[in-house]
Amino acid sequence: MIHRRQALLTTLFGAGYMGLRAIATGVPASLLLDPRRLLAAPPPPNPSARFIVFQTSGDGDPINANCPGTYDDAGGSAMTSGIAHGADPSMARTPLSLGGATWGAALPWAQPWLAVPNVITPGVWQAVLDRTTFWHLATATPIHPKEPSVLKLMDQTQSDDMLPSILARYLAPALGTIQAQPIAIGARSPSEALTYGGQTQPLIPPTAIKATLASPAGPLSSLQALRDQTMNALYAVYKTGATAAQQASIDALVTSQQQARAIGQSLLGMLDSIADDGVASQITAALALIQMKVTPVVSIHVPFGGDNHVDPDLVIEAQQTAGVGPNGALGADLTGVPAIAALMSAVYAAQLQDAVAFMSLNVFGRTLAAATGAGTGRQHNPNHHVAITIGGAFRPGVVGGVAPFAGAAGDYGAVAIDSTTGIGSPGGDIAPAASLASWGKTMMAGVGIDGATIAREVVAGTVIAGALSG
Amino acid sequence: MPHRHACILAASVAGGAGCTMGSPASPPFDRPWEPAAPGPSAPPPPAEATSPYSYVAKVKNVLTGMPPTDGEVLSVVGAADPQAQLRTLVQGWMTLADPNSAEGMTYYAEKMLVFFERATQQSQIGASDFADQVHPGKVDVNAATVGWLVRNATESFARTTVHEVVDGTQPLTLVVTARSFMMTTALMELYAFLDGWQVGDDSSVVDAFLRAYPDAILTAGSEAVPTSQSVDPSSPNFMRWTDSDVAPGGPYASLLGPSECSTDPVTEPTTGLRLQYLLYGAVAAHTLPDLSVCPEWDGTALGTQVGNPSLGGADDFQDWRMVTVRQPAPGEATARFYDLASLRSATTLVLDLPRVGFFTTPAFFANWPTNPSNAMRVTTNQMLIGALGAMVDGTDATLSIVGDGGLPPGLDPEHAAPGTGCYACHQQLDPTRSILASTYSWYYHRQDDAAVSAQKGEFAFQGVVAYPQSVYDLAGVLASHPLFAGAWAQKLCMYANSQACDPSDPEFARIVDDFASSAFSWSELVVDLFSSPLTTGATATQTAAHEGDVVAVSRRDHFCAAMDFRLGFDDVCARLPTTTPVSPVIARVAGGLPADGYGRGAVAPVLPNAPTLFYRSGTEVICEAIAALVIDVPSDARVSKRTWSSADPAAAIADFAQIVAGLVPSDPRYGPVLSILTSHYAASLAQPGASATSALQSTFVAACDAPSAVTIGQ
Repeated sequence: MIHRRQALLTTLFGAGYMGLRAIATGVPASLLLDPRRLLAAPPPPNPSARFIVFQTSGDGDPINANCPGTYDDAGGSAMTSGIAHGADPSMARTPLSLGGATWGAALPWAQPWLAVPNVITPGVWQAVLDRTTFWHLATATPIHPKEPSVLKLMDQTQSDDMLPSILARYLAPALGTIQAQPIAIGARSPSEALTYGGQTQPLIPPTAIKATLASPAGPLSSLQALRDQTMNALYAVYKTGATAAQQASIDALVTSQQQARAIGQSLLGMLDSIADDGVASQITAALALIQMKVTPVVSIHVPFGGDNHVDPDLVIEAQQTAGVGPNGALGADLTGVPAIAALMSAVYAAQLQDAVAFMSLNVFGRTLAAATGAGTGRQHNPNHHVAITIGGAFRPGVVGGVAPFAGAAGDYGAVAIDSTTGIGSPGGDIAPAASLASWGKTMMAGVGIDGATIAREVVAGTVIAGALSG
Repeated sequence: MPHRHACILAASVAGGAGCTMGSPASPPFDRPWEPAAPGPSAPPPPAEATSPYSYVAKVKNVLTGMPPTDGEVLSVVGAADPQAQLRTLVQGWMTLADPNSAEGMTYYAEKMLVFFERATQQSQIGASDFADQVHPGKVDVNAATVGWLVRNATESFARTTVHEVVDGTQPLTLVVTARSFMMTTALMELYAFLDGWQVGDDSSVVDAFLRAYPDAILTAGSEAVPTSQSVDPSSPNFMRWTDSDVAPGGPYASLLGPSECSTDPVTEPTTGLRLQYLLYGAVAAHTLPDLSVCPEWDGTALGTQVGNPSLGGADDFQDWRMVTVRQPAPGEATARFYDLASLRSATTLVLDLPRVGFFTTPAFFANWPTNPSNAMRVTTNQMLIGALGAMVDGTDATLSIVGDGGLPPGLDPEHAAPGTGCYACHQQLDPTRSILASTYSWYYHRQDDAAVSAQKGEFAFQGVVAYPQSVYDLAGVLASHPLFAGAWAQKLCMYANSQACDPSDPEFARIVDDFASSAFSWSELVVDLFSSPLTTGATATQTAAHEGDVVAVSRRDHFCAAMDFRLGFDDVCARLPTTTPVSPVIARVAGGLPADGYGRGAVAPVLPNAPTLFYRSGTEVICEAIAALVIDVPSDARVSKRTWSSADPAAAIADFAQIVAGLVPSDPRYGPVLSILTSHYAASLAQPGASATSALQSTFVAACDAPSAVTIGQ
């Protein structure tokens, strides 16, 4: 298939009027001759920079009830009756290895291919696990609408930006991406929209990405380069005599046109298989956007059971964690651990394992004690949530931990973290209330952002140095 | 002489064409915009006063989707009091009829319809979101009807507001106090079904239809049975329905193949839910006497009772009218959901379940499901956001009166014990939600738990403490709440300007005061705000000083409305679930355009304002697809009222500049833009392989992607 933008590239760089376009846009003509040069200014050296697939959900999730670190409560303390796991056999404690250390977790974490055959090979999955870290945190909120605040590390970012956006802002120059703004392709509602620099970013589902970028070449494609020149002339007309706000708007239009033209054409075929907006399509779109160097950060939404108060037997939790929906079919119903496995399988297949990191942060976890976490429908847990990272920047294993929580009678919460080791212990220097901000700082450190910048951008917490590899 | 510079640029692009090429009489390019001389008491114009060429176009576009005329802009440019003149224009624009509207609506009403769908949180839903209300079934499984039914539910309250408030004379407080609603026969059927399908807090179902007719046999067959007999309990044909889908050789039999299930007629055990399915052409899964299970048949357009022209239901999804919903008098029967003939002529719906305002509609409930844990808190919070533009966030100092046990009435101590971090919100939210919880079950049916029903709670929010004993009382509390006027002025401000007005801005305070003192006249508010410098930027405001001006992208609702209204399409973006796309590409791409939205627990709407590469690419793809639909289209293939011929490119290009880009001839930008577009046409035509058609289409795309077409406020 010939894509519409392939036609453009055949003519764009041969087109004239560079001086005109430079006047119209304010961009030096030398750069306009090669838009990619504009976008690929020498980045500051940052070998740790990674593209990020950022999984986030305002639904909440029960990952904290079935992942490594939550199967070691020996019947609970006097305060609790033990952590409640679903009765489904797949939720039983199963050993798995994280970087050589053995942990217990629900079966899907050990063998995601059981429910979704061929989603990943055992060898690749073990390689993934050896780069996987489970972070026991407290998001400090039981409220769904606080999802944006959680992404802002509970409003501990100096710029009031969300962590994905801060990461994107600093990673874009190093990665040479077309735009710095993150792209939300999996958001299920406007509540899961990302903001960047205070501006709400649009929700762009995979099918819209495909339709927008990969429409077949039409009869007007051959006139696109000429039309771009016309647009630049129009921009100049509108900009002259305009107010500052109007000029800024036109500048943004100019930039967006340049960015649109800088998209790599050879990779658009990756979008061909997208037929819906399900998780599998999100994975396809995310990796395509990364390989096209469109953005440093793409957010997706992987269901893990969400907030299902009417799931007292934790059936839905087990189903979605294992990776199958009610239909048990791979595809639009891909969920839970196999969704992560499918993503990482694709990452490894594309040999992007050293270029792409995975991060997961949801609004809250679920309550864990049997009296509150099961039997009556699960509840929101402001005191315990498990974030996930996959990438070589972090030591595989478990950071922090979970224990009976004094502030919530009968339930569990995250424990303090020792920043030098990453181990959870009551004497740790990172209190649970600071664990979310500390996680954010550690994410920034993991992708090579310097300490002074981290300290400036996130006003609370401490980098968990013990969780960083190397 | 800023515009002379632009002329030079245009000439360069055109390969030497002059500035006046193709341009009608237009003012000199070096004529700067000169604001009307301020009066003695007028404040000095700000350094960056927006030109009337920009703000008149903005106001008319946001209000109606249409471009201004030259006379309209010039009337403001030349007015001694431009704001007063703009008020006059706005009042006129609010009456502009859309000649393409089958219902005779004005452009303004059509825009407000979408606004009120969002503002009252009736949209962003699909059929699956009604799952709780029809538990354990589905609201409709027939692909031929479900889109219509969801659309009816989504539009009903917005249409109510448009009918009574926007086009009528009712105060805006009707959004919370309405007891009459715009409904279709189909929607009346749904309301009536939900009234008799009682789902309790524990998800148990009481089926009023089954209780009334436990021995009835539900039968669907090809035999012609008058519907008057189908619904008559005294008729031997009671509950025998005509369904052509189940005829031998029909789609039902084809689906099943030779099977015990594919009989004509099909008989099912009677339940209200099965009857609901049958009314929309479906046959619910059922078990035969030999215990074999017949699968669910979703139905077709030919098999449905609701909306089937051959059964008298041609208008069932479109026969909008005001319907009063009231509770029965003692001994009075409630509406029978399956008596479609009666519903088609009814303007009153007698239901047990109280319905009032936007916050008790099936669509609102579909948006915000609750459960035993949430216990109506999300519903209450969203109601407060919708009605009062504020939410319970733990910062409100309004205190509930301590009731029995030393706790606020209705507080759930198990969920939010005093002393916990959750208490600050729950001490207000729990008492305030109690009136909803005492009225509706967690599945939004009648609350039949006596203990919960008895706990009416207390409304305690933002300085108002009240004791509503019913949802009707609650509506009155909301209507009289001091936040009401400011909340709705703010919603309109965000709609017009893509950002909030500064609540402390004296101009905004004036508008809010005027709105309240006008008895909440929506029209007064619209005229006042749309002609205000808060919207026009014609003079300085505190909001602009504090927040800056926003020139936002034309988000999906505005962009698609402009294309529809200006070019005479009927939903070219296929925004409605019932629209068959004229261009699948447009429909898919439009799905990814930045869109207005509302989120759970978010007071302000989600408004993506900045252009992205996806917006730029998306509008280009859409504009290209539209170009193919409006240029050189054979008369028998036209899907828009307005088309152009490449045989007369000059006229077409002038239209592109005025209608699509929205520039008037007296605008200093018009001449250069026309020249650039004309040059583009000429240059395109000279390209190898190009035709007059493709050249004109490409010119259309340039106009369609011009800043004044893809942003609001250029």
